[in-house]
Amino acid sequence: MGSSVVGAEATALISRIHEETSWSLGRRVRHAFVSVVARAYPRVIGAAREPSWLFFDLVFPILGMCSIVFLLRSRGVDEAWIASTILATALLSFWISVVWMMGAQFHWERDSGNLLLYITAPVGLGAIALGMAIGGALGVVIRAVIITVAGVLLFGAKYQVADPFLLALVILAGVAAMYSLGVCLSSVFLISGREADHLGSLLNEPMQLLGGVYAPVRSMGTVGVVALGILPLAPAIDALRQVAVPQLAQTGILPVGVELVILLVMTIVFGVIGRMLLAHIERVGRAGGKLLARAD
Amino acid sequence: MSGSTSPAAVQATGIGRVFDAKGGPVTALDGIDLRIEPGELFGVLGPNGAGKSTLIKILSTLLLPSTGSASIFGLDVVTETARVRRIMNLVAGGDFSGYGLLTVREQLAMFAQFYGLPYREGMAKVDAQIASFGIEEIRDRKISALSTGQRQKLNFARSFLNDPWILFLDEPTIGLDVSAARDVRDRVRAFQAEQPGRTVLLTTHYMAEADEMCDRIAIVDHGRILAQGTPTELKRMVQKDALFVVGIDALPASMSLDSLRALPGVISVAARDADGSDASGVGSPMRRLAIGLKEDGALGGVISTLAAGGAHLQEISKSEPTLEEVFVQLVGRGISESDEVSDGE
Repeated sequence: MGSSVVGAEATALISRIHEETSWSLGRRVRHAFVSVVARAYPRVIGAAREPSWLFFDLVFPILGMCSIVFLLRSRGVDEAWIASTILATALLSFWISVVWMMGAQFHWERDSGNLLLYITAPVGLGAIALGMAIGGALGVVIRAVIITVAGVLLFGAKYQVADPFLLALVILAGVAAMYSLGVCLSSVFLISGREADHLGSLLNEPMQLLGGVYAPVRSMGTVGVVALGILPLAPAIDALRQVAVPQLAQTGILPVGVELVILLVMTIVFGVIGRMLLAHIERVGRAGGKLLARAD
Repeated sequence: MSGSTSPAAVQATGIGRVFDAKGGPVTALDGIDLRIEPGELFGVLGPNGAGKSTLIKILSTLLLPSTGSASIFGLDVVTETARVRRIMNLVAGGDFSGYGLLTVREQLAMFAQFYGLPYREGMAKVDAQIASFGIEEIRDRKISALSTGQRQKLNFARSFLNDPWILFLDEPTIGLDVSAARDVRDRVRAFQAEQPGRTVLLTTHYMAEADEMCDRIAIVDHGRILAQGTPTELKRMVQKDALFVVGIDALPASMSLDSLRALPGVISVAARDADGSDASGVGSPMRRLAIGLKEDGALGGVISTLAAGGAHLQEISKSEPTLEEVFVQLVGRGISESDEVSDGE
């Protein structure tokens, strides 16, 4: 049994505790940073620990890519489109990870009891979500690289990258915008329950079409312009196609620089909305008592 | 302990909580007043649906109260949540949190970072907790491969990482076998002993656990505290008189139970072994008498009378009511019956 502390001792203890709980801004920033890294770790390590994940995450996208390439070749389409399809498939891995893994993550975290532990830990949900996003993106990088290499080896695709820095910037901006949207989706899916999850799955194929995976968004007219302003996948693929496959530069709907700005704006806007949604989740969860609780 | 003006570890005033439900609002907590001193191990005892978990959720910043206020070491649980979370931790029974792909050590390391421990200090604490809970052999095992008992030990190890000043334990030994439950209880006691002021709030519906572990207990039902005090104080509430069991070889022929009842200070005398047989089955036959006294001092007269009559005294023990009996008297039903009729929390 414990022995209670009373009187002057208790007063001194509480002063000490109040001092311990007053974290400086620097400490809070450092703590947020290490929390992001800590939460990213399971995502990164997951792919290595569970080879079946890597297998299925590679086989199905590569099969999908092959079917499109064979279709394009059967129609005698320029080989530049084959190279474009391979890149789009690689970028699509990030998108699928955003919609399926990021979107459903908080749902899963809640049902496993992790969300309660996050809430009661002195770590903000923002750091957890950012860790999920960065870990998720890093975990997909290997897949995206393997898909690209497989495409090049299988179909002899050729790329002419005049500016590797710009290519890296486009990929980075595209991935950042997608995962920023992913933070929003994870909150929306948690709030809306399984219906949002089902809706996300249902809209997956249409979103890929609107994102310009199969054809440039320019060919979609007004719909393509709208997609460019909503779906990070659209400007990312459009810019990637212009940078890595110069023969198709004329199919771009906007200059690469503008698309980079669009992606940057999307990253910020989705990030801000995501942050607000996370705060909303915690507020509603604490008020209602159900949103954060495990469904027993 | 209660009623003190010195700062409290937990101070709750008029805490109420109403949930919206399909059939209309449900009152889970109804005006809870609670004060827990720093360093206490305080138990909240009650059936499922009594409001225990709701109370712990409010105090651990997971839920907002509908009415009233509460503070942890002077920090308001509604407005100073970030600071409260820096000094607390929580373990719930049947908790299967974590990432199945991580090893025990990795999982603890991850939470050490979440709790704000510098990396080296965090890893040292992780290894210390692994050693402390005797789970070295599973330190590199994946979480998905752990048994229920191992998982709960891992949960406890996690909860000790940040050296919390207050530890909330919500039915922590539920589903554990006897040995694992004893291990975690021992660790909780050791954890408190390491640093004066560490406070534990335990909810349970295991009477023996509450009786064994807690400095003070509040018995809760239908969102209200029916009684609170030390286990001894609570037991005295249902047994104001002293009750002794006296074992003798036989009641002298010259004596009857009524003659014993007539002795000064004696309230009641009843034969415990009505058939007069040897209760243990070995040795000489023994007859047990349950004797209720106004005060302990009256026992001397009873023993003298029995001895003078020729009875040979074989045992004397003081009988205390169990917490179960306290619970039945306060709640009006047994805790297992309560569980059956409850809707759950």
